[in-house]
Amino acid sequence: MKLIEQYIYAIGKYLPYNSRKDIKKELYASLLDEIEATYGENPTQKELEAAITAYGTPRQVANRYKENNLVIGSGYTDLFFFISKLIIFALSIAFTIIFVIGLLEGDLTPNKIIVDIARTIARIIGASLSAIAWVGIGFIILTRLNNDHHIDLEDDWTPKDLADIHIGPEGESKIESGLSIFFILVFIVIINTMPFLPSIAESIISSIYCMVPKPRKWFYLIC
Amino acid sequence: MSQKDVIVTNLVGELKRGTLVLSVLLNTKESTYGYSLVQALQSLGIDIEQNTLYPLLRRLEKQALLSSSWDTTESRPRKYYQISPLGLEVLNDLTAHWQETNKIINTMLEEV
Repeated sequence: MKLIEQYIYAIGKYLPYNSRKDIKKELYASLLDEIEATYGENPTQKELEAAITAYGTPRQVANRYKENNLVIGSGYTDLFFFISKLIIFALSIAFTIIFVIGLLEGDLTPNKIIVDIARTIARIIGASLSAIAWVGIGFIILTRLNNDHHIDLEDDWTPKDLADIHIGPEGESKIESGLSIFFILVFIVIINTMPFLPSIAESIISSIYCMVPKPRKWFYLIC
Repeated sequence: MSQKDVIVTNLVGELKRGTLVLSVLLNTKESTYGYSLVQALQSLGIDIEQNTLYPLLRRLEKQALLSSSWDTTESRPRKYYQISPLGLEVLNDLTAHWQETNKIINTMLEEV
């Protein structure tokens, strides 16, 4: 029954390592039991193939033994997608602003504009993928640490929590938190892309300070 | 197959899946191996496929509702399953819930 052995071996490749040996042993015996009961002790190659086909592809069989191995817990999924969309949106705005500033500062030749547009799109895609990957890794770690795939972020919620809610237009709090993440991301991108900005801000502040009349000596004595 | 038939098939499938654990626990009071359990359930009218039952047996074993042991005395080694003390307690609770649900549904059906 080489075909059955090959089939069991193929299933084994998709099984979890810890229980692979035991599942394979049980599958082998059970499959032979069924084949014997259906086709007798000496089944033909075609009958073996029919039995295997009815049982399912190696991956299908192995998948039935896998538990719900969610990479990101179901309780985090909505939040993950919300943050991912926000990242794409915020980075698109941030890089578009940088692109427009670059246009205003540099030459306005058609070639340069096309190159800058392409570069901006590439930057948006690259930065979005990288940011989403890091956020994803964070959620995967959270899921693994919790060791419970049915995570409820509001499991400590009680009706008393409703007391702090002021009824207003729907989605207000979501927009509020969304905007804060958005502006933080825009700020980080702008500072990263234009590191000279803080020094400009510093020089502006110091020039304002110079224009303000300095307090007299008696002021320091009082203070 | 009409749309109605597809819906009914899916719903019946869901109903059957819900009662599968109860059926398995009820039929493992005596030590039994996978294929023999498939046959026992099928003879009782419960249509279950091997590739559905074996993963379920392992899950119940992992939850400590079933205990297992390998019999290597025969030419083909077989894994035997039997309901555990915890499994018996769970079975009693499940049976009570099943009877209660059954009673409620029957009352509703009589009213229709």
